[in-house]
Amino acid sequence: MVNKTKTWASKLVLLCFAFTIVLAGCGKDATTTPEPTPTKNEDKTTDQPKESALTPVELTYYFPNTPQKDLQSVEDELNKLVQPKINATIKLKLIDWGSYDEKMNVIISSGEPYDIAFTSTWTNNFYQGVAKGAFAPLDELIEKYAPDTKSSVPETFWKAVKVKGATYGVPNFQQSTAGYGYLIQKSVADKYKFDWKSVTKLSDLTPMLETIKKGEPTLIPWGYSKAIDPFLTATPMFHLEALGDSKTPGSIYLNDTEMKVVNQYETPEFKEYVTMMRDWYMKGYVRKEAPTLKDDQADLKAGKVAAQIGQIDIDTTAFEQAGMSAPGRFSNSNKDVQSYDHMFIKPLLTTDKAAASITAISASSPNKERAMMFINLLNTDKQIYNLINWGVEGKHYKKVADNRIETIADSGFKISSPWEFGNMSQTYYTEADAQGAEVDDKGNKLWIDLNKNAPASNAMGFVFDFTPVKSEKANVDAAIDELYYAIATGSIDPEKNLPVFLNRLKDAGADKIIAEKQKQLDEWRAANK
Amino acid sequence: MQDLILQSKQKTKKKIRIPPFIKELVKNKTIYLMMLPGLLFILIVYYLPMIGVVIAFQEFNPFKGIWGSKWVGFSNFEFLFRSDAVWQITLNTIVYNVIFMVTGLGLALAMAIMINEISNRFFAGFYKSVILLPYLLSWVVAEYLLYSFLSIDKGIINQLLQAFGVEPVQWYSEPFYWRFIMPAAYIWKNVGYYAVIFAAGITSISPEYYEAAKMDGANKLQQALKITVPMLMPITITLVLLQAGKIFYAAFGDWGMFYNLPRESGVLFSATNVIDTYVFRALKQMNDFGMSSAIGLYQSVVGFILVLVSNWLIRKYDRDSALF
Repeated sequence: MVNKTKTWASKLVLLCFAFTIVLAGCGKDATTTPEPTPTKNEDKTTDQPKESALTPVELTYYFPNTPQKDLQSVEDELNKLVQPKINATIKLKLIDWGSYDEKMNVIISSGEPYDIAFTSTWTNNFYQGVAKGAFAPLDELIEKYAPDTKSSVPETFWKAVKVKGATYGVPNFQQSTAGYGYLIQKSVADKYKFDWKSVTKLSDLTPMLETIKKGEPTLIPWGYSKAIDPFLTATPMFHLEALGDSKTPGSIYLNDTEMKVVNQYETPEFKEYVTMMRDWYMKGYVRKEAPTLKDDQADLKAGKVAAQIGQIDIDTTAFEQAGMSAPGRFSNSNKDVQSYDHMFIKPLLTTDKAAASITAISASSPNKERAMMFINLLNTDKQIYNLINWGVEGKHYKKVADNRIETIADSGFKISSPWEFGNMSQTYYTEADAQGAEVDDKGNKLWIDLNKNAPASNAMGFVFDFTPVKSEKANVDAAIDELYYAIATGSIDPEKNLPVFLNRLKDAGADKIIAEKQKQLDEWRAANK
Repeated sequence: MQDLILQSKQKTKKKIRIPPFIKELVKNKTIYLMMLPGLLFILIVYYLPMIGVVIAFQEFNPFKGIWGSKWVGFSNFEFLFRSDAVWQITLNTIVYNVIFMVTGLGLALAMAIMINEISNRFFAGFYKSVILLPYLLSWVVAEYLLYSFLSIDKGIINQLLQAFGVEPVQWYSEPFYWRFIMPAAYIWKNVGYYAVIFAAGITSISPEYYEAAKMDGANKLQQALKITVPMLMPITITLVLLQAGKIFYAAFGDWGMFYNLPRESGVLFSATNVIDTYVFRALKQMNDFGMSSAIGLYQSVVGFILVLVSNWLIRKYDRDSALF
């Protein structure tokens, strides 16, 4: 027995010894490898401006979308246009929506060199990327290679991509205001002669939902899923603005110029909302499964949702006034279901929306100048912009008017995401746009006007850094996941459970997060006065 | 002369004094050489990545790397132990896993014995395949299977209840039922797998024991309890030991069950939240490597201690069955 333990002990010592050797070896590796990259970059930056002619380079461009069969022909055609202008070829790396966030996380963490990437507040998070040092600061490059892009995008958008005084991305100028309202099926609203334009708050819908519940047993009166939770997605409806993600405690009232950070779950607005939802749930306006529904696409596709919340900037009335007719947002899911879209919360420009689509240059890119030249082309060259969006003329789309195209079905390339690349005001109109939108560029003018005229929120440009309160945020997130959706859908009684929820948040450290937010916000205000 | 030679021999021996470890290496060098690729593989694939645990004590930043990131001591562990849910999730994890281990292995053993009694080879194979099938399904598929039974407005069970005039049950908002649904789901999925392992063990038991028992007039039940079960003890102990190491991981590392089956219904968390799901929910928004590794390390350390303890217990009881 004693003998055995001895041999074991000796083996253990040996093992430890082996590990120290391995560890030491690794230490050397890890410290030496990152070094060459910066020196290489310096070489390039000092070398290139000296050369008068540009050497040919290849730029890798990562962006999310639905995978396309015929991406290659678009890439070939794109390079025919880009090569003569900046002597660069573009390698388009399209990654599926669902895995983009994860893939970019891996690519960035591994330090793999690439040049350009799509980043935003909702996938491949821009602010976390900047904090990690994933993106290159661009101020000088923009000044030098993209002055046209700089002047074509309003200043408010540039504010959103500034972190600690430096610009880390080029905002894609697109419809970025967030107005809110609701959608209601046209046929239902017409049948019961609802006065759908008179709604100014959610509770105004109660009598309509009651009528639908009684008269249309096959329909779900109020569509709900976690993805479209009104309190979390449409904060202005409750007079609040989220600072960072809307779930984490700490919001400010929109009209509060003092910017006092409050816990949005403790506001009277939240209490009123959940009491109304409890009423709706008990009366059967909402599906009994609501708290566990991840999305309601299936119900929408089946045309079973009678009404639901909507993020709407240009509603049915606005389209009509501009002389266009629109089928409404429900028709995106089911062609046969038309809807009236009614906006009752005026559009507002927030950090979150202005930073919803950004093109950034990787800190690991060996050709940052050329990457900036290409981004400039995306923002100013209509031909290049539309090629990457709609594909090759004659192959992927037909031109039907000067500014209007019709996409060809099953052509192998249809990404339809004009907001994803460069300046969206250059886009062609397609069959999905309202009729008459292409006349005098009316369709684009509508949203450009909104972007330029929409009031910017008081905290526009403020970004919350949660690292000082990580432990609190983790526990608060867990508490919210546990109780929020059950309360917000009305599936449990708020009278009893709202206080429980608030207590859980307090115990988890919500107050500390709010205090930290207030501190950062005050500092930000002082710096941006 | 002879003395001299002997003396010199002893001298040289004393001078070199090869350690027994090296001697062993030299003596069986071919065998050790053959072992080398495998050893290297294990070292590189399993042991080398363990260096990554240092991340648990850092504010890890992939750009600065393991050696450049800031050291923060134990602050990454803080959030779990400060959480008011920590007792509930730890208790849930351990209690469920103990239930899973006892019922899962017990039923699998019973199932294996019963299948062994089926003399028709075709049917024996058929039953084995049928009970093994759920093991091959993913929990996501199981989630929707269960949902088709328990859905509140369209579920099979609620429609049956209504047909009999009974009030339908809100399955996804009543934690009580889930204390039974969870073990049932675990058994449904895993019993077949362990039954196959046990069945393989049974075939290796010499038929002579059974013949002798029959001569003495033992019935089937007695044969099973007095011969099959003791003979399967080594396999059972190995399985228990392997599970013990993972007792701090939801469903022994297969946490998809706890994550998927309750469809993320928050009200059920008192019965369905375990360490893994809690940590996943708490950290999914933050992408924080440090905090996630801290929990991983905590689970591994506790698992390691549990393996040592259970192995020590087994060694006291039966030296030969212990792993080491």
